[in-house]
Amino acid sequence: MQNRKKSANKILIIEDVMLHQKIFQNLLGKFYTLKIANSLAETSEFLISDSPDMMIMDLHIDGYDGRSCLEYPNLTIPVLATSSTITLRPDQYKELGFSGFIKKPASAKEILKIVAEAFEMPPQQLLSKENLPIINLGIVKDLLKYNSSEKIMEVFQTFIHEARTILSEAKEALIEHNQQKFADKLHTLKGNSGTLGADRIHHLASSAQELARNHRLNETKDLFPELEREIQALEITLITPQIFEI
Amino acid sequence: MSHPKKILVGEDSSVIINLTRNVLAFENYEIQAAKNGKQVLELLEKGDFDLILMDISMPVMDGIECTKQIRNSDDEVKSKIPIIAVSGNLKNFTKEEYRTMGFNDFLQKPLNYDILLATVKNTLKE
Repeated sequence: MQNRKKSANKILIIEDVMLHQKIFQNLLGKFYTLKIANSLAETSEFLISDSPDMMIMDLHIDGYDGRSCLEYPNLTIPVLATSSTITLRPDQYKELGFSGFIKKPASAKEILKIVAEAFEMPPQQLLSKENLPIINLGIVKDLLKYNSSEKIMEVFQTFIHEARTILSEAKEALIEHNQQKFADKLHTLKGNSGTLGADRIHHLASSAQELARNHRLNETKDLFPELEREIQALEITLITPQIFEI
Repeated sequence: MSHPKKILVGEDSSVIINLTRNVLAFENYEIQAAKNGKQVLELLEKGDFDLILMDISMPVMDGIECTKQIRNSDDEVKSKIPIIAVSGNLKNFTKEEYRTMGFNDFLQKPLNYDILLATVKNTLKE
């Protein structure tokens, strides 16, 4: 394994609580070069300007939902999640794309160990749609805490119906060259699919929204057949009896 | 037994309305849903609510304009109702900027319902 001098490793800490920032600074600052981002907006900026080797992300920053690190499509560095209110099991944080999890408060020894281990991990695989599940059962499991499986099924059926309507409205927006309407439609599809754990649709909707945001509206056309296929794949998956009996 | 708290959900997506309704009902909150900011104002006019979950991107009237109108309202009680912004626009506003616009807190989409419930309870000081 490649030998790395610790101080050469740059860590981007995404944390908006001053006390936690100081704890990380006092502890990790001795061994690593740190940069602190107070918001997700700063995160995007520092990811480009500072090219960090690792990110440590508080799960409650700016209402962060636990999946936003998947929003950075080219992220190949390890990302650790931290939280003082919720606990993520290894299967949960891995599913969300994290390399590890630090439950606050953690001892200095514990934090250093998790960080050192994450640095030794092979680079995170680039996320491609094919690596994602049609339905993220981890998210469904969370929803099942508050919903019966029948209710979840109903919501998925509503989602499919709504997704098809959104797609046809987004196509209209493309024909009209109405960038705002297009972005709004994709935005809704992205939010709905992400909340339900329809990960492939979420990934495609995020990509389309990103292209639109960068004024590359024409390239989004290629994503429509893919989105239609994924909506159909989801519909077929839902036919499986007891799909939500996890 | 204390009266169930009433939450108004401003959200244009049926998927999110249904899920949020189920989750909040599970915790014994009473829910009413509005599909746009104008409907939020109409429902607020007719009834009393303890909290509003306000999607930012809604047709007819968006969540920012709706919140501005609520905060500027002459009704002393209604103008102070806690409002939580809900948005998927990762790079648009920080929590502080949402506060400046009159929101009490902010939730990121895709929604995580554990965080949503914790935020609702925290805002209602439960």
